[in-house]
Parts: sequence; structure tokens; C-alpha cells
Amino acid sequence: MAEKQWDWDEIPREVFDGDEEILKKRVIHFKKGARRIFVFTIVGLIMGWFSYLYVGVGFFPLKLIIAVPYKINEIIHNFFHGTHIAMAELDTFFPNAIWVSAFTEFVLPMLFGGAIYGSLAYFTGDRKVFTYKRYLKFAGIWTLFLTVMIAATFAANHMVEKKNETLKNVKRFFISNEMGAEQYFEQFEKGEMISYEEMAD
Amino acid sequence: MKERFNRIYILYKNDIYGYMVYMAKDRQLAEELTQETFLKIYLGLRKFKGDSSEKTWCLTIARNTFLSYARKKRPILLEEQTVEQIFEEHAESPEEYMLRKEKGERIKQVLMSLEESDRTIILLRDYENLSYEEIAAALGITAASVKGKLFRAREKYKRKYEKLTLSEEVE
Repeated sequence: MAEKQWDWDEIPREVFDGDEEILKKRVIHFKKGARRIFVFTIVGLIMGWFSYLYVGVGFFPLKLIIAVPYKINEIIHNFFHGTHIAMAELDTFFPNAIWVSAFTEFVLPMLFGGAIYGSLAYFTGDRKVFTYKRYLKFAGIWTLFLTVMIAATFAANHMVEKKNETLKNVKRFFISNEMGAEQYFEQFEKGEMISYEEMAD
Repeated sequence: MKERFNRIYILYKNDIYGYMVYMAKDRQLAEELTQETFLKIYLGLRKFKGDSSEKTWCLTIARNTFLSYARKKRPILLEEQTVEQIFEEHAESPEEYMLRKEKGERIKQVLMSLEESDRTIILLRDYENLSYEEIAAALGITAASVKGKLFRAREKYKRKYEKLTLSEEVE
């Protein structure tokens, strides 16, 4: 169909006559907000790492703020362990695997801290830029990451437990009894366990 | 990326703003929607592969931003207005009436009274000077469909313009 000759160039041009930068205001706010979220997340990671120190803080409001990442971590692990863990000990979470326990003790609260503080920064941003829909994506990524990390700790502990049940690679161990005395056992080549007292005989 | 965005901003700022004024029918709203469009352009710049021209891509984002807003907040912006509604909505004072009689203002009002799809296609062709292929890419239709829709939109525009001119003469 041939195009007729219309005087369509008469459509009046609309030119923005305001401040030069106004039309990219949201981009500017986004950049500022993204920097703030990054800084808050770093602060959150640091606060989360030292979160276990909440036990020593006397001032209750401060104690509450510092404790949040650690306590969230504790609640989740209590839920899956099915027991109540009261004290912050290095081998508290996974007694069979000390390095997994240390990861759970320090790294997971650190990640929770990053997520919480990053979220706080998100909600203090320009509401037209940092919308609820965009926050869901942000929170979704953190949730997925934390879920994978938590699952990894249980998976790693499960692997270590399996090895410990068969005493695989365990050459010697201690048993403590109620009297506080300890017996030291060593495994000989033929696979028999013999105490030092028996060896002395 | 910063330089690329700044270049796009300078080049297409008025094209996008102008499109939004005609679609939103309100300069304040057009300004907000243009800001949102540039934010989406900034966030999407890394993913832009150059499948279409930058202008087409930017205007596609602008259109989608407008549609997203209008469908949720102001569906009336998508609808067509009659000539009588144009009279009701605009200018009753003698000064405003004289302003409306100016051809440019009349063109604007008639254009703004068309429904969204007709307005868009006329603006993309005759205001933004996109080719049929670029318009087809922006709207997700074929170039042949673009020609057909453009013809019908222009016919509608022409009828309304003549009717408005006649009504004003009668008054």
C-alpha cells in the first residue's frame, strides 16, 4: 500500500526544558543506592562475623542488635538438629566435624549479617527505584545462597559422621568417664584396641 | 558503560520524553515515566546485543514502561476519546480556546485522543521517524502489519481532526 504524502512533520516536537539531569534522576539514585547497599552489606558481614560476641555485651539494645545474625543461625540449626544448643562453643554445631562447626559458628552468621544489613539499606533507598519487586529478587538471591551454604554444612557433616562411625582414619581417641579420668586407646596394626594400662602390663 | 549510557541519554532524551508526553497526556507523568525508562535502559545496557538500533530499543522500553504503568494505574490512557470528550476535557476559557485553535495544539489533542495502539504507531513513524522494520521490531509484529495499522490509524486521526475542526467552526 503506497504511503500518501501527509504533512505529519507537523506533529509538534516536545522538548524537555527542565534541568539537564532530571530525566536521569532515577539512574543517579540507583547508583547511590547500590553503593549504600554494598557498604551496608560489608558492614553486615563484619557485624555477623563478630556476632558470637553478643554474650559478653551488657547493654541490652546493643546485645540485641549484635546477636541477631548469630541467633537466626542458631534457630535454624536447632530446628534441623532437633536439640537446643545453649553455648557458643567451637564444636557446638557439629561435634563430629570441627571445621564444619567453625564454618557454621562464624561464616554463616557473617552471611546472615550481610543479608540483613543489605536489606536494611535497600529499604532506605528511593522507593521508586528500589521497589518491592526488585527487593524480592535481591532477597531471593540471598535466600538461595544461604540455603545452599546451610545444606552444604549438613552434607559435609554427614560425610564426616559416616567416616567416624566406622572409625575410618582414626588412629587414636580419648574417652572421658564421670570420674574425670581418661583412658587412651591406640589401635595396633591387627586392629585391636588396647589401653595404655594394658600395654604397660 | 557509563559513557555509553550518557551518549544514549543525550541522543534520545527528547525522543523518549516527547513520546511519553503524547502517551501520558501529562508532562509531570511523562517526566516520571521517562525517568523510569532511562533507569531500565541503564540496567539493561549490558544485555543489549544490538539486535535492533539503539533508538528502537530505547523506544521499545519506553512503550513497555508506559503500558506497564497505564494498565495498572490509569487504563483510561489506553482508551480512545471522542471529539466531544476532547472539548469537555480541554479549554473553556477564551484564551485556552484560542490556544486550542492553533493548529499545533489541535494536532496534539487529536493525537492524544486516539487509543494507545494508534497513537504509538503514528508517533513511531511520523514523530520518531522509525522505519517499518524498526516499528515492527518494537511492536513485535510484521512490517506488513505495521503498514496496515498505520494506514488505519492515520485514517482515524484524519476523521477526528476534520470533525474537531468542523465543530470549532460551528461554535
